[in-house]
Amino acid sequence: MATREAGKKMIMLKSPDGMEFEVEEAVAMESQTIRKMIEDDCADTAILIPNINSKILSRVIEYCNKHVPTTGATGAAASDTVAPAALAEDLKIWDAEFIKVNRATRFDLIQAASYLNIKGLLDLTSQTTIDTISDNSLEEIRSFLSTKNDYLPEEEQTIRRENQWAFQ
Amino acid sequence: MTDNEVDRFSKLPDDILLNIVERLDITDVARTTILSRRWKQIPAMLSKIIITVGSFEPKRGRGTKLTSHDIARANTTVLEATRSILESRTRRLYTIHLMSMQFYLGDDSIFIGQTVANTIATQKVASVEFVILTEVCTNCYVDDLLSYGKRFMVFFDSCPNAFGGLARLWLENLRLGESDFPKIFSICKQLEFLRL
Repeated sequence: MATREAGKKMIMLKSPDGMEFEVEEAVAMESQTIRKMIEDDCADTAILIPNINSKILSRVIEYCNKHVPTTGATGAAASDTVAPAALAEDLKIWDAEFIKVNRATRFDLIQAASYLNIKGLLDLTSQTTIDTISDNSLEEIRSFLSTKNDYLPEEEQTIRRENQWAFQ
Repeated sequence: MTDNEVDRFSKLPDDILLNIVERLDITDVARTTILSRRWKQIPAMLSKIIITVGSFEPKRGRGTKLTSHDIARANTTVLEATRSILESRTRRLYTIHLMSMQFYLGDDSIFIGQTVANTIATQKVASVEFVILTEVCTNCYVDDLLSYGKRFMVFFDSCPNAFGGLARLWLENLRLGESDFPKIFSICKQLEFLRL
């Protein structure tokens, strides 16, 4: 495996549309999925990330780069280090900017975060959906999620009756 | 909205939808069942079920007290929520890792307890906790403490199977008889935490 920058271990991630991204192993290991591949020695040369195009993968790497713990050495020990409080505030502001994307991109990021198992990114990308569900009428939620109501009217009535407590 | 954008959410795998739904308040979880058939499948997979009577109490200004009617109504909503959420789980496919219930000691607590007992008997449940509140919460007289103590024991006796599966129990404002404790500990075999 290639090494550079004072012995930092690098790893190659490939998107299905043929782009290659060289990232520090510690950054890639923000993804639990990739961490497992590396720990199981399934990542000798390059890791192909299926279903995540280069545009989304580059955003994911951008996120991981920002969120990888900066103190300490690379590898497993580094990710156990807790970021100081000032850093956490800075990250929050950065996250808020990062997530200013259109609906389709946010959706792609949710899927990518889920496949790559990056908890922080999944939390961040799903939060808008959670807020929308909490704060809006059903029609507004359906429209935001592009969800089609596929119930027959009488089925909808039954569910409404069974969950009447939630619609008071 | 373009065509391929339609219902992309509904095509997400169970675990992603579940991850989103698990972070909603239980009322919002129930509301999502009416979005579409796909969303209706998710609550039965919940690994955490947290139902709190506090979330059903009417919002009153600071310093104004809840009436007995408010409290009884909120407790009834807990019962309805418990039934609709727990009884929708027909198959034992998914483990409930935590079932946390907060409710008032009152007429409906027995039915809440029995619904929980039934779930413990028929589903895979790892951990159950009860937070049992009393209507009067400050400046209780001794009579109140004794009367709540008695009501608690009536509740306890009516659903031993719920208490038998309980890991954590919070009680307040009640005084129990000397013989009650050995009884509680002999039934609550799973109990790890008790707060009086």
